[in-house]
Amino acid sequence: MEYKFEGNTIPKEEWYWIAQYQDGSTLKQFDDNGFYHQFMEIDQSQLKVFKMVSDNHSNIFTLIFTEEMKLIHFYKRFMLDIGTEQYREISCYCFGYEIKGQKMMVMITPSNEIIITNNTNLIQIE
Amino acid sequence: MAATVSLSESNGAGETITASITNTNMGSTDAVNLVSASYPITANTRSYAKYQRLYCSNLNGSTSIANLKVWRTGSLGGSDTHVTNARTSAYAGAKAYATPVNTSIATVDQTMPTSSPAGANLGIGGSLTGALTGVGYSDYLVHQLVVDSASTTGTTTTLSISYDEIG
Repeated sequence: MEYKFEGNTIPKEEWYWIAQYQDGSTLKQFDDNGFYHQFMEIDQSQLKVFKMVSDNHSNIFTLIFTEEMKLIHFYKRFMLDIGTEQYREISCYCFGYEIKGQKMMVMITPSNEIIITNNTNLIQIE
Repeated sequence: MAATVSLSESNGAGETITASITNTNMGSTDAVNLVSASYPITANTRSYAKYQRLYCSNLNGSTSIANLKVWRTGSLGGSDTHVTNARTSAYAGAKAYATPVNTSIATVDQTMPTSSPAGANLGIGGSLTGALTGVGYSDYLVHQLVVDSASTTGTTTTLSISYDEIG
């Protein structure tokens, strides 16, 4: 299935999010109608559950959202050993929340290792 | 989808920009994608400085790119050093392009980190907290090898970059 955003085709990520709202509706990053949605489209005032899912992995990561949380989601992209035969591009999927300035972040690495931290800047990928 | 991001290099007077460079080899000439063996750096001199930028040509649905980090891995010969304008504190703002030289350059005096730094060390729009929200470039990464008299041949060090992308 192709997913469109402003006329452009957006390939699916290895891991993507699903936002479930208090009224039972959902917003999927890659929705069932072939549209891509940005993280900023999530209505956090109505959010109940935030999930990270994958078409290639059976595990699901579920964050139960409460109103004092500020949801965080981003990709950490790596361009390693630039200009060599060992060059590789790696994506890590980061999500979590912030409450009163304190963060709790989960990072899914390419090997599906799960790293939990309050500072994703501390994580080294080689 | 990942934003389309590549490394560009600027060379010469008046700045000739080469997109999507294939290597970041350093040597005794100002040239992009050079072969280091053809342009060895003499002991007690410096390489020509590299002026390189991260270039985002398409955000592909993402909203921004930020938190740029640059570091090297591998070894340097002897007690050579690798200096740069990239730094996690006291960042001097966006370095203006100048014709690359093989002499010392003001503010290009920070040792290139040998692992991913604990925070951004290359700015966007002159700030370490800056972000690209459309097609555009990062600040220049200016870096240079300082080769000393005890340098040895055959060592290799490679450059790596990371950034955060908001989907």
